[in-house]
Amino acid sequence: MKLDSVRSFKQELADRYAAGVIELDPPMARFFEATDPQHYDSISLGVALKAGAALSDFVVSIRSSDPAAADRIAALAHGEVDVRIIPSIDARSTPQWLQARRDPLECGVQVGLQAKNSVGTLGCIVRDNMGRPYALSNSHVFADGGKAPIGSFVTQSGKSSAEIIGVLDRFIPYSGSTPNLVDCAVVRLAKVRILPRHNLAIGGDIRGVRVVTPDDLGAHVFKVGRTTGISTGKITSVEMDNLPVNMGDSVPRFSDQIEISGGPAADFSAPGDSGSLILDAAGWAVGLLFAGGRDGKGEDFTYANQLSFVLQRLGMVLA
Amino acid sequence: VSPFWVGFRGGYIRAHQLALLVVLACSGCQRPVVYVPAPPPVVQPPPTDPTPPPPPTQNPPTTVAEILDKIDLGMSFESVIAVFGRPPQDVPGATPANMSRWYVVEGEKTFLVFVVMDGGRVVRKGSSVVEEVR
Repeated sequence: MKLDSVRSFKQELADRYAAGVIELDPPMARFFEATDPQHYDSISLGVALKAGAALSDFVVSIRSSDPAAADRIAALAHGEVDVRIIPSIDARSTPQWLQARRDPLECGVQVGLQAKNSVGTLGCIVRDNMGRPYALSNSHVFADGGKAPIGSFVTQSGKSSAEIIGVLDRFIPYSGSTPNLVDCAVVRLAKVRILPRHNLAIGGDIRGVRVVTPDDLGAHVFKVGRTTGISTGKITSVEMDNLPVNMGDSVPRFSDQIEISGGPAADFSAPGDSGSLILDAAGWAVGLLFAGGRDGKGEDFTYANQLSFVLQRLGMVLA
Repeated sequence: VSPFWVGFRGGYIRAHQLALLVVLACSGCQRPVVYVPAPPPVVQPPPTDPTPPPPPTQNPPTTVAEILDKIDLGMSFESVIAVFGRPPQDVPGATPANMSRWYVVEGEKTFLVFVVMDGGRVVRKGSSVVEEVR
């Protein structure tokens, strides 16, 4: 299918799903109230490349924890879909502090709240309109998903005060009623040395920021994260809507997300890589890693926000 | 009058007498210039036990621009280390195997200089400034 056709079809499926025509259990209303991820069913829709077809041949991608629901939608789509059953998509932070202190700070180092066991990755250095430097990562890394007060200390490799690199400055709270676009927060840095543009995943400086489009499906991307280090993957789906992410005590939904796979045998990310910056092969920053889940066949899928949305919502620019 | 006689103060002397007077007058006020040829240049004999001169000392380049200028694409890793004069300052487990990095202080600024290797040869090089946040 052509891209316009796939987008129209995807919207039609979403509308019918929301109206209950497809008769899924549980109903759509429960999506926004669900707090028990163990019994949470959903359908997420996106745009993917048709397997084995030309680069301009697209299909609707379906991600669901409910095989029966996915089958019903796949039947409606007459098989023109890319279906993956992913039991749970989880935020990719971890309670374990593994890495030693790094000086200067750079993309990919370990960061976390001093008062919480929530460790992730420093994605990159960003600046406000005054040119002041901040560390960018996820809200569930720097702000405990919005529960940490502004001014909370963030450290790099442990909980001692000597490890403090800055304070939580701002975050975007999760919405329970409308789809979220981003999971992000920034820390105002103080008394540290930084490498603002250098990124080990691409072996050089970040060139800038750009938006991921369906034309990027199948493209190679790179990241450096606190747990898995440098890894390579391919963009497998874009414009992923209605994506439920288990944050531990809530399941906010995300839209317009990027899906990445390292392939059947290699994981692109693991818990602790949350906040990693995702770059394309030319060195452009495209996404902010925040979640992932494994499908029934064992292939791991990573999810990322569009970085341009992240920076726009936070009022920041790449350093 | 004989041509051998020259008038002198109203009198006459012979020409050879006049010449004698002139010679005597000049020898009293002027020394003859004597040309002494320069001695031949003294050639030192070659030393019997010659010591080779020390190789010209080359200080490692000190600025990032000089360093990057001396690192050529295709250069071996050993040659890159020789440019810096020290081993790389990589982070174990973090810096990828095909990349090496050095910190270079230039004035009040610190730079990260890096090379990316492929097949034992430099395929990319660059630098990035280290910023101090106060």
